[in-house]
Amino acid sequence: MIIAERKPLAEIIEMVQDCTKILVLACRGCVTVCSAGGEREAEILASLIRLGLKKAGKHAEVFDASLVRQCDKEYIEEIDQFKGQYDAIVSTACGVGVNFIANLRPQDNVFPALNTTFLGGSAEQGVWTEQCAGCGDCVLHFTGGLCPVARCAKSLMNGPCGGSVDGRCEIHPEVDCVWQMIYDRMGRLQRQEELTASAPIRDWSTARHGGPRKQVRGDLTVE
Amino acid sequence: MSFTPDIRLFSCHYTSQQSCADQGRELQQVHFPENVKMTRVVCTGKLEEITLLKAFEDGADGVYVVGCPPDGCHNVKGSQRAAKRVQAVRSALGELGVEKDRIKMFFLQRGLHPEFVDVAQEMTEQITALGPSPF
Repeated sequence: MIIAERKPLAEIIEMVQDCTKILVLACRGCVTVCSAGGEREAEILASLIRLGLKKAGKHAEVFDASLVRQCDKEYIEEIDQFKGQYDAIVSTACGVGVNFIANLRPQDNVFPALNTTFLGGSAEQGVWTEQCAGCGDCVLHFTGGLCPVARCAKSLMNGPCGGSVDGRCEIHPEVDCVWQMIYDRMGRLQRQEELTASAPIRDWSTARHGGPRKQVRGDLTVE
Repeated sequence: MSFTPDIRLFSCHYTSQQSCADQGRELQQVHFPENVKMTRVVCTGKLEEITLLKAFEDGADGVYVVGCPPDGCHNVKGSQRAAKRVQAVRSALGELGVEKDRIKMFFLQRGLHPEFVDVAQEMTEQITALGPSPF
């Protein structure tokens, strides 16, 4: 899922300091699961915005609502039910949600309440770790299912590097060296010899290096 | 300037169970501050951050939560969960430039012990010193 965290309150309040009617809009997708921007967090943020603006001597009507997701057109259209009730939307969705609102609501001010941090999973309650870089050319079949692009600090394709010490990364000593993990895991799977094969030169154009990405599936399009 | 702080207490059902004794008159007899408005909850672990924030929105100058000792909670981890939520609100108050000590967590034994009154008086003194809520 997409992992995110709330921006500093001062930053959010500065965004909306001149607004008088504010809709804090939650997303019931990924950011609900990672407890950053679901209904509970939006309700809390709405309260904090009211308190922050009041402390600054300003008054605003701040209310909260939620959408099933903010990354699909049909759900964005549900914002219409609040027409006239807000002069700014503070979205607690990931950056995708904020972009979708901006794309589909050209007349609306929309501000991000979150910093979108990475694609990851829940390591334990309250702890999330990055697991995927969305690079567009998955190599997990070569590496036993462990991603060197996302989980190696240097995104090496032929690790471990000389900075791997006792199975830990030299950049983040608290982080396991993913290449050590890959070798250990491939050994357990009796596939370690696969790691001796020469890998083709990687084409990074599928990652962000090729600019904004788009995916079209003709079998799903309506036309 | 004379100032009597509006303080909201959210107390564990068990910790405050004797506060209702004799229709609350027992609390008065032991000098429980009248400016502290108590809400009893089934377990402090049930408290949400929004409930604590709404107390400030509602005009509270200070808020505190009283739960079971961490190693003696009737619901095992209820008071520990409450403490984390109080901490979250303390952090938020800090972000807003407001004194974090306007909200506190206390762990007390069950029943109406002198400490139950002591922390109410302590909060009253501290919030009086801090002055009215900036909200």
